[in-house]
Amino acid sequence: MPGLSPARLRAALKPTPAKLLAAMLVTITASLLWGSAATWTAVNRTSAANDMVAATGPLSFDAEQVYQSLADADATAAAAFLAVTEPPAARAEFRADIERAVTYLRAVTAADPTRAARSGLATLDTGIPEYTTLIGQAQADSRDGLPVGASYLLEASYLMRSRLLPAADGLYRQENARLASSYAQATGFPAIVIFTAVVGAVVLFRVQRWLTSRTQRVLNRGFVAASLIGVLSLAWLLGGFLAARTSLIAAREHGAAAQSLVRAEITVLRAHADESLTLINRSGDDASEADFKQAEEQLGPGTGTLLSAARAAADGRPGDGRAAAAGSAATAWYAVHRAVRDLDNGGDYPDAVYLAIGSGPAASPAVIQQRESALAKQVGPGHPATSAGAFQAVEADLAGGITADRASFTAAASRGDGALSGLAAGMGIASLLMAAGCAWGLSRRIAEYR
Amino acid sequence: MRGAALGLLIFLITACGTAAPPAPVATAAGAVPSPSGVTTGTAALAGSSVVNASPACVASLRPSGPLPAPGHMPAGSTMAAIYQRGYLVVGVDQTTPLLSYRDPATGRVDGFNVAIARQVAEAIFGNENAIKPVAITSAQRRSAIEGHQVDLIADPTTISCDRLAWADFSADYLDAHQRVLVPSGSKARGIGDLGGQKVCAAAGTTSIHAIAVQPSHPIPVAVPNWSDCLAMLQQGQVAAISTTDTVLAGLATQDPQTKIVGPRFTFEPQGLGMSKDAKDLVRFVNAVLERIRTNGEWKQLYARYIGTRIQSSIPDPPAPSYCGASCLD
Repeated sequence: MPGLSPARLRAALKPTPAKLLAAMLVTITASLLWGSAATWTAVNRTSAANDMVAATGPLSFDAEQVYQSLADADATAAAAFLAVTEPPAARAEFRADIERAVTYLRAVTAADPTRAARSGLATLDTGIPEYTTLIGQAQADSRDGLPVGASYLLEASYLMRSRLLPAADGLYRQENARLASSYAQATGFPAIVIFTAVVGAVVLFRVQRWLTSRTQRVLNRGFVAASLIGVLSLAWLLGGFLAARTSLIAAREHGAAAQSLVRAEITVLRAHADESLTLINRSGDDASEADFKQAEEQLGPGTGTLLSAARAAADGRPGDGRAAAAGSAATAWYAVHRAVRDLDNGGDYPDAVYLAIGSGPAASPAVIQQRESALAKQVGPGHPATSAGAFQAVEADLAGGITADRASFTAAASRGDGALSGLAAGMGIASLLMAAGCAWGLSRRIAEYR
Repeated sequence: MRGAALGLLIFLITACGTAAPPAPVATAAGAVPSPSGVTTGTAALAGSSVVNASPACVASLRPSGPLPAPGHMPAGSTMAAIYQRGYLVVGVDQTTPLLSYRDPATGRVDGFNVAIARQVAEAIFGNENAIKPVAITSAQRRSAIEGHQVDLIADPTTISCDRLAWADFSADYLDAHQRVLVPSGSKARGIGDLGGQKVCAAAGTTSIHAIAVQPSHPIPVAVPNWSDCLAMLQQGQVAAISTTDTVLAGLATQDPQTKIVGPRFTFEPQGLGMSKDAKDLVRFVNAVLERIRTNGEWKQLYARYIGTRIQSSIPDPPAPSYCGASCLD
């Protein structure tokens, strides 16, 4: 390009109204681009954090309640069947369990229209009435003194374990995955915001320098104002994101602690039902007893077990004390359970039932007393008098820990949500002000040509 | 104009077609619940026995003289060891009223078979309550005997040749015959009418095998406990239950909406199963049976537990058959 001498180049770069107008458009575009990226990201994160507090968080809790209620119903029905005349409290608890399961199932149904959720919901929708029908038949037969009642109870429990609980578990996993994606959405690296902020800064800086070098004025007040607003809004945005992220990470850890307590609680419920089923089946150490032993191994306490995992997850959190207590309560429970099995395997069925549930026919007080003193030696004083009592102690500790960690989850998630409040609107307004600053600054330069 | 009307008609017809309600999402959810441990067809025959009551197999060991006084068992005998232990361990079924069942109201195991086991306890201890019932399913009988978990089995058990591989039996204490239990409204008049239909029996029994070999080809369905068969029948999951009339009568007591139909198609002498290591106990039990047959106790127990549910009058006890010199070892 022979015609492009330094003099002509300077002339070409000299501001003209057309060039200034172009610069104005470029800076306004950059401001609005940054503003929309920041607003979009803020809206996205706010809604994700909002979901954790108000939608996916509660929904995963609801799904977990469906599972927990059904597992509790299974254990309650089996224990009540052992007591010849069903205790009124057990009947009330069973009803409450089923009502809770159905209520939470409705909540999940209403809130999650995804196809994956619907197949699990359909299984539970038809399965729960079938299950309660079988339990009702078992109880009616038992009241009439018909041995066939036990077959109905075992069939009901099999339905629960082979179809309903797996469906509830699938639902829980699905809702948990949705919660995890809310979390990821609310705490991910804000790449687009950073990128557009850098682009905006470069554009503002280059235009400003071009103006400075081509005109006599060192600073353009409109540009200065726009830059200042840009820096402040970026600081606010990143600060908000960071604060929210800290709270949401805390929320996730509380949630994980509650989850591992829930896993332990579900295993405890399974083992409790197993103990009753073994006695109902009346065939000594059978498949249900094998399942109890497996549940005991999974539960611990001990390295790599659910209770120690729950304890590690709850370390320093509100559920910590309860998780630790659950460990020692579980050890006491296993001792009582073994005493129950010894009685049953020795042919002392009524005594075994009595030691298991604290009631039942034809228990001999002498044998029970003898067992209890043996237990006191084994477990120490203050041991629970029955296996059911020991189970309740473990369950109460775990439930207490779950409630505490759940509350902490909600509080931390709400804090995270709060840290994001006003960000989206703020970013929108800030970018409009920036665009206005740029337009004002350049329009004054353009006005000088008139 | 006619074209437009035709078009409208077609539109209306297709519109009706699309207005059908949406199909349910998961049809698998509608699967009927069933008890656990159900097997169908050839899988149902695992561990089953062939009905074969040939005299050589039914013949038991002759009692060695009169019974000793309770508490005075011959030194070193199986009975002496049981006496030392303090109770007789009896394998029982807990789901078959009349023969061997657990009363849900009392938790006590009772029935005709259990009453005979109590007679054995009476002979050893002078106390018919010195028994420890251990509930076992039909399929668990073999392992319970081979593993010495029980002294004798009071589950309803047919003496059959192939079972002699793992157990010795007492003399025949109750004659039974396989028949069919169906809902009152069923049109089936016997096993011959149940071709292609599901017929239930407990796993590991002679009954499940006998169902499978019927010329009418019913589909055998095996379950752990006899009461599981009744639960399945009540839920319409099987068309019938087929086993000995003694067991069927017990199941029928739990449901007045059932009936026993058809001809007897097997002959199945019932025996108390014991370990092959306890020949002295087999002889002892046979002596107990001898006593209750002759002193009228057998008829009294039959009248109390079974009564006229199987036949119109109380029968005489089956005559025992003992083997000759060949099995005197």
